Amino acid sequence: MPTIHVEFFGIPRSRAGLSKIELEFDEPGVSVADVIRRLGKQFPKLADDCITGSALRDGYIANINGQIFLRDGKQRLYDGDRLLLLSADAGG
Amino acid sequence: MTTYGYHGRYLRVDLTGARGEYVEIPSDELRGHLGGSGLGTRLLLDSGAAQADPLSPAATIAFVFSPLVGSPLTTSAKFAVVSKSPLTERINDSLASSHFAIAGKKCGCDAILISGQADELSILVIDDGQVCLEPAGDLHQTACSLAEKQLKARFGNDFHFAVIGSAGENLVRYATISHDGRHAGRGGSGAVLGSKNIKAIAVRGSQRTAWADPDGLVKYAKGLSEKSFGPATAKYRELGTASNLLVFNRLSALPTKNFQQGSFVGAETLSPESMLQAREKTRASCAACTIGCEHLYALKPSAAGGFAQEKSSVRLEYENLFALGPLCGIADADVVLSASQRCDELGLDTISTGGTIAFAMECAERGFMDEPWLQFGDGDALLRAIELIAARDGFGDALAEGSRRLADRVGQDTIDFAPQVKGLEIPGYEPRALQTMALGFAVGTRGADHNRSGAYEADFTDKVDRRNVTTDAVKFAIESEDKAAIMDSLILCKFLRGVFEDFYAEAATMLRLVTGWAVSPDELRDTARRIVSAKRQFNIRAGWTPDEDTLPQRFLGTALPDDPRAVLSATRLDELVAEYNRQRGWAGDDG
Repeated sequence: MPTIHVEFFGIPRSRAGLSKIELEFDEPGVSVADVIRRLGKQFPKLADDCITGSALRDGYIANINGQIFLRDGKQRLYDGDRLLLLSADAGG
Repeated sequence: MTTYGYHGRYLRVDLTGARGEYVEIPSDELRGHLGGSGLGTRLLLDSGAAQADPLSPAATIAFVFSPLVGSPLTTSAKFAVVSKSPLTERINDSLASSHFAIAGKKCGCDAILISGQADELSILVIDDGQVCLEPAGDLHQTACSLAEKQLKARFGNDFHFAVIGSAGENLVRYATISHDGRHAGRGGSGAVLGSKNIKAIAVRGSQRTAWADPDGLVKYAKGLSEKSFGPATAKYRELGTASNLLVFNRLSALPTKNFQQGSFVGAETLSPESMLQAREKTRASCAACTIGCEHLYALKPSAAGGFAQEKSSVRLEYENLFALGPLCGIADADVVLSASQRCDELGLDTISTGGTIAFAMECAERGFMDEPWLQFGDGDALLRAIELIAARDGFGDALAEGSRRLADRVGQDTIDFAPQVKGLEIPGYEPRALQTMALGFAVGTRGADHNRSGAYEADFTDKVDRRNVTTDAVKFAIESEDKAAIMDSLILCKFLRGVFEDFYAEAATMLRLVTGWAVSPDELRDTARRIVSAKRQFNIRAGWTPDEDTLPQRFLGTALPDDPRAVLSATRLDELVAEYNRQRGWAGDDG
């Protein structure tokens, strides 16, 4: 069964209260939306500010394995994948 | 005829004769360039500044306000300092926020253009438009914050000041201008003021401009302020720009050891998330700002390496953090904070300071120069180098010239890894990992610049493959540059950009409420292109050639060591630049 590693940065980290977590799923075919929905249930403050249902709110974005940025949750994840949650604005 | 939002004139100050006079600005010039960066570029083009030596009496430096200054719109208390850069010898426009903007505009002008040279170190006093010089010998080599404090005591609280530190007095080519503790930072405008023997400018005024639709403006401003408290700015409010550090590190986009790597082992200890647990922190805002992105961290006196500490806390931004930390291989947060504070007090641009020192560290490490004390990771060396630069003492005299001139002096092809474009040191965005930004750096009129081009925004989306961009990315770089041209001319803080659902429509609304002009979003898009073109025109007159629009050899054709997929070939960059010029409607070698 797939294990997905979630890494939190910036505001998502502050709302989740930790920098990373491993999530295990019972069924294969996990999507980004599935992970975000699970995180929303597990971390109420994260749900309040960064998540709406199974998607990220405006201002936040996900990245898979440091490679691909994505806004919708359809992307399938595989065992060992790392999902990064971060603020969309990289201005400095 | 009343021109709402504007005075319709600039104040021309001749320091040599210690006199000033108002000069009318035609209405179409105001509407065509707005204010700030755009209007400043237009006025400098008209003054012949592009052809002058930037550190000569003939050089002109402009402090430019905008129609929104003095309005209730959040983040609008801004001004642009525009001149030919002594670092790049190209256009330079540095923006900053402070009460200086409001007081300066109340002197009855939309800009102050300064040329000539005072006989001795002086304070330029502009009191409601009346110009005089006062001696500043007592402020010689005084730190920025102390100079401002002494000026307040001397002139009173209704004056506001722009000052230079010892770096500006000593003509360090990347010296800043400080005001309210903030800096017009990049490109060496502090050295331009120093070359004119001006330690400080003191402004006070009583002349306000009217707004075309005051009720509508107040209502709009209230809504904008409310939106500025939303999720689009949460990162800046709660953690500050420094929160980029861990994200960039994770994506191998954090410039480390003079861009030899894209990630840094000490990143976690330098992150604001870690520092929050280890030291006190307070927040502050620029004048007239509701976002409050400034995060001030407590300094430990013992961390200053024996150098002076004027304050017990220091503002920390991502650019300070990356340039004085990972770029120099420094993982000690106390050293980075002390170095940042010293740069602020001496009046040094932190990006160019860190970039030049990191370049020298690599030169020393590889045996290209005999300065064995300059080693990556050595905090004492960093702090010592900063002091030497500001004083132009010993080897600091060479460092004070910036990395490009230092490479020219060292020779041996070290220019290939001098971290600069057009002479301006590269900010904290690794070009191989963020290739839309790489294009933004290459074509930037100011040089490598993350403020005039926010092309990195596309790199943080699914619109491009950031490590293998194609010419499809060019439109995003252009959009970003155009948007920045309007924001820098209105002038508004870029941290608001996520707040606007339709930027050009809302910018047109703000401008209409203030000026009464029936400006359309399309007119503003044309204005953006006009401003970008004006900057390029300035550079052409200053001697720009097409081969300047590139990146150092280090970034071309060789993968980032810690991310083998991050490769940008010279051919690809050439294609991107050519497509950029095509979409801009420019031939490669003219405006």
